[in-house]
Parts: sequence; C-alpha cells; structure tokens
Amino acid sequence: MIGLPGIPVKLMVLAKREQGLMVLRGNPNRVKTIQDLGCSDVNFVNRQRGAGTRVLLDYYLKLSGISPESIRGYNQKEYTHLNVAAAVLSRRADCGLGIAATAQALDLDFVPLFQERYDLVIPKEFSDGELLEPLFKIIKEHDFREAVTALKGYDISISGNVILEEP
Amino acid sequence: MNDAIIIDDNRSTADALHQMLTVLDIPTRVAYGASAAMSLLSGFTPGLILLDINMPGVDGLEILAYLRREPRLMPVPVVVITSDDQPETRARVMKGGANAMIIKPATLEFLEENLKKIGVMK
Repeated sequence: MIGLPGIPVKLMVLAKREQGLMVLRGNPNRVKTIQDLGCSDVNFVNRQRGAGTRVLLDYYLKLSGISPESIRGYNQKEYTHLNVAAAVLSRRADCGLGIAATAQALDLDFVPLFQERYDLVIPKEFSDGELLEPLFKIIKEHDFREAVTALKGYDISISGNVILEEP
Repeated sequence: MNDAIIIDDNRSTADALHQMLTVLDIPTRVAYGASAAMSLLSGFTPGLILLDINMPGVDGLEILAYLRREPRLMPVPVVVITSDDQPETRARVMKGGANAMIIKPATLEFLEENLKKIGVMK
C-alpha cells in the first residue's frame, strides 16, 4: 500500500533530482561526503523543519549513523534553497544542502550527495482515462524532456516508467 | 529612489520593460536571469524589482521567496510580470509577498498605474 488506503494506485516516475552540498568556489573546506559535516571546522546551514531537503538529510544522517548534534550549524535554518545558497555566499555558513541549479545561480560549487526521485501516485481509476492523458503526453514530449534535461542535476531517463501497479 | 532591477530571462521583454521604466524616469538595471539577478542583489538594494516568474533553473517564485526572507531586501517593492494569468498563479504570487502582478504584455499605462498604486511613483 503506497499511501491511499483502499485506493489502488499506479506509481509512475516523473524525474530524479540530485541533492548535494552548495559550497564556495573551490570547496575550501573540502567537504565531499555527509560524514564531513561532522567535522568541527565545517559550519553547516540547514533547512527549516518539514522541508523535503531536511527530511532527506535526516534520513541519510540516520542511515549513516551520524547524530545531528555532531553537526555544527544543524540548528541554523533557512527557508529556501536560495537563502541557503546566499548564506554560503556571504560566508555565514560553509555549506548547505540544495540543488545544482541554485548553486549555479549564485556561482557556488556543488558537491552531489544523493538523488531523490519524484513519482506520480495515480489512482488506477484515472490512470487509463482522458483526465490525465495530457500530463502523460507532456512527459513523453521532446520539448519537455529537452527543457528538463537543460536543468542541471535533473535526470528523466526513466520518467514515464510505471514502477508499481497495485492490484 | 535606488535603481530598479528587471529580472527576466527573455531579453526582448526585459529590454521593453527597461524602456518603459526609462520613460517613467526610473533608473534601471537589467538582469537577464536568476544568476545575474543574484549577483546584482548581493551588493545592491534596489528601489523596485520587476520579476518574471517562468525562468529556467531558479524561477521567479523562488527569487520572491528569497527576497521576502532576506531582511535587507524584504522591504523592496516587487512587481511580478508574467504571461500566466491563472488565478492560482496570482494567489501564489501575492501570497508569496509580491506587491502587484501584471500580465504580459505589460503596457506603459498599466505599469505606471500599478507603480502609483504601490507607492513607487506619485
């Protein structure tokens, strides 16, 4: 069961996106992995509680056995990727989690850490009807794929693939 | 008033807006996209921002959210200029902290009217 109790669904991949650390040009603190955030000389800036990026970080911290308390700046928070990037650019922090496009916009370096996948959860009663046909068509269109591919850090190689279908 | 900034990746739209602001006697700088905008905004507090929404990479709504969270830039009036006339878009833009929203193509009269309405012009 994916999360719609009593409603069978199809799970279709929309896109994959890279999340990573935004750092100053040249990565002066040489932060390369999530483990490096535990170094006392690295000042991190986090996202607010509830942000998907923070959920992702907490998930990987737990997976790696790293305690949030060991990260300097874990409780410093910003509300958007751009504000995190601006904090790094102004040297209020050494690094923060975000996406490549934001790092690029502020001329920061980007250290890829993990990939998140965006899926469409489609109730089966709508999956073969006319309602969502325009959406499925757009996902397959060359213009759409070209536009997403032009964005740094996005991967649509398997977008449109149905990866799960509940009976 | 400090210079205005136009943020729009579409050069012809940005240049047309630049001409309009010049006619209205508002000195203006132009950023053809988010990257140029963030570079300008890092060292300068504009008196007004005209902001496009649909831009690749970092879009206008993200820039708006950034502006409204950055104490130095929080008071700067922002007019969103977009071709998206969906009511949901207007709601998101206004909830995001814009002072006004104008549907493209913007006319000189309508721009002037809105700038007067938000107190940027007398």
